[in-house]
Amino acid sequence: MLLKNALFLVAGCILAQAHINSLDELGGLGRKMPVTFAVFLFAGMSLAGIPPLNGFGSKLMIYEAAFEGGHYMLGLSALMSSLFTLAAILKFAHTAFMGQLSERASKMTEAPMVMLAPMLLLVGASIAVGLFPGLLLVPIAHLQTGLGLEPVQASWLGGLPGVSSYNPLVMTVALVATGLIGWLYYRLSGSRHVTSYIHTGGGVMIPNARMHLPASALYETPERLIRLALRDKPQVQDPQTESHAHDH
Amino acid sequence: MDFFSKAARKSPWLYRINAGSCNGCDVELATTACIPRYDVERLGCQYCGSPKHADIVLITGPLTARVKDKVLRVYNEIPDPKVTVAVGICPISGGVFRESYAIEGPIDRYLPVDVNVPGCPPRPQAIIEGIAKAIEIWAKRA
Amino acid sequence: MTTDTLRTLLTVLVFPGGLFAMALGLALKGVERRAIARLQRRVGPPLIQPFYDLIKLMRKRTLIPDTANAFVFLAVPVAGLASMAVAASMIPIPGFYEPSTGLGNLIVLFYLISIPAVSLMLAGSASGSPYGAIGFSREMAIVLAYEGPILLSLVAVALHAGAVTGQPILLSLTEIVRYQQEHGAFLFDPWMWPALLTYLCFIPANLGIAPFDIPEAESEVLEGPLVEYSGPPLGLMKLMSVTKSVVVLGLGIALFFPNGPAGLAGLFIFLAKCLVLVLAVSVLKAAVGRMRIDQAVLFYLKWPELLGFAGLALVIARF
Ligand code: SF4
Repeated sequence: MLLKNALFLVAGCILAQAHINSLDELGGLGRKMPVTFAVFLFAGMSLAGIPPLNGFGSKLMIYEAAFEGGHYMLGLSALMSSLFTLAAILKFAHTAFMGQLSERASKMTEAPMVMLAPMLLLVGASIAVGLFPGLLLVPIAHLQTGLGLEPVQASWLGGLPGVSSYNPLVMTVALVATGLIGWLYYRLSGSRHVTSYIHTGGGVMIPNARMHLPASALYETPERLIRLALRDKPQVQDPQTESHAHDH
Repeated sequence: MDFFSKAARKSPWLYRINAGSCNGCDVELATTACIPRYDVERLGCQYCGSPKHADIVLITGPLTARVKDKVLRVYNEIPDPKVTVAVGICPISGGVFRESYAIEGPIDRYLPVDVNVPGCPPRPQAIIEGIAKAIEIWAKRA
Repeated sequence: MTTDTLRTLLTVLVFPGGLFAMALGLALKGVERRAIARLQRRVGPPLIQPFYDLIKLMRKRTLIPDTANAFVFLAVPVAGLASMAVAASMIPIPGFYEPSTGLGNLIVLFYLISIPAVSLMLAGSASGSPYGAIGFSREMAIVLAYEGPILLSLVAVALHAGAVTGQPILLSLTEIVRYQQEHGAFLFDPWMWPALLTYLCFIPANLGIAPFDIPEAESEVLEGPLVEYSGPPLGLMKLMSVTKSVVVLGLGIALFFPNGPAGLAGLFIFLAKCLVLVLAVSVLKAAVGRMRIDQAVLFYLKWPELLGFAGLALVIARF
């Protein structure tokens, strides 16, 4: 909920800055709109279920419930579908926020504070719930006892209910602690940061737009893969007609 | 510091730049000097695909006018510290292409060359010796 | 709470996650390079070559492309490495080590294993290089292809373990290992062979080993996502991938053949199993060339997928 809303707001921010109708017109926005990008990345990764972000906890409970209940295929397809979420999120992240600045994007600036504040609020809330599921679970447990139902097991600092005993707080602490190893490696090396240009095999006169892979050039959609696997002839659009369509 | 250069000495990564060579030297580099028969991996070397990973750069060819800017650009992409080895007679004097209108070399007009390996093309053993010399220099720089 | 947390931190940071897993991964990489050299009749690099490489990379400058998202560019290697260190601490070594329960179960581990791929993709994408973007696209394609089979294999094992212990499904890796310790490994159970084969198919694609090292092909796409990396971030990327190999091999061992004596001997048996797997992997790497991306994706969508379904069907049909 929180995450989807945050994503909608991100899209709104981009649209407010430039009235575009195709993702391919964007590119390199991450450097122009860093806060929006950060929100997008957080919400997107969380939706795709990257632990320890909070989208993962809820997914985990769904999977476990599905498997416990004997609905293997349901659980499996739920697991696979989170992968497709990831693919979609990354595709968007790449085309809109990474890579070369497109002509449209180079004129854009960070969204105004009024647009950023709600997004940051949502992200803050989802981080809080993600780290301490007890924040929501304890009140729910209280309600349940009040209604005479058996309450879910919950404590303020505890993990998620269910068989897994997965505790997002422990996972986060563990990840941050091991992240320190990487950070230490950076610090010990004391390597100087130098800004350079990207490697093009020596080519110099390639325009920015040509260097940015548009969304349509990235990995194929699952539908096309399934067609290929079934030896169905993939529907390749004739480049000629496609460019024609663009002209009009 | 000493510890680092000791480790660095054991791990020089190679990158090849073709500055308009006739491919003779490249064949020697890629398929003779650095494959099973004359193993450079025992020196810790490893060919990298990207110039940004490289420590020792092997340049072949006489630096033609057409390719000069591109070679310089790729050369600048290799992070410091680095060592340059010019392989073949071409980068030294232009070799058989000497005094051609299309040649901008010798290469050390534009790049600091540390080791020259003459020959047209040089023998694999000579190339490996050149790399070994370059490793000495690289250990001092790292 | 506190002693428990401290113990978890220790397992994550030092043994068997963190430093131990990284060192083991680097050593296995050294063995692999040496083995490949020997298969090609050369002398090969010293066994501790990857350690040298890692230290050397600290001395190099860090190049950040002007088109890159500097923060993402530098942060993803750290994130990938952290996830792998934690994942390594979640793999039980029978008779020697049991992971702490707060970190979760098989599904959590599965998600953690996919993080390095995500960080590779983000890395390629954030570098702003077209080669990186192609690497990203290929990585995603192959991830979409191999993730199905591996899931089927994991679920088959979990269902089987659950059925024999009288639960709907057994997702705790510790208990899967304990069951096998007592009743014999799944490796010797023909009913489990399809799942085992599926897992074996998954290893080369996940670890980027020929013939499936297409996203990081050094001659075609200039090492793909890694093309713009240099110096310490590159070192972290390499460290991440070797740690991942420990996690993936270790998970395979835990799922199918964890048996070993108690105490320190158990650790050595575990190491020996890793070594055998790495030698097998290097034979594969030395023996075959590289596939095209569409061939690899189709391969994964067909055979391992079928095998995975067969494995799952066998398990369901049996109980
Ligand atoms: S030195 Fe000889 S072999 Fe080498 S590039 Fe020049 S002409 Fe070719």
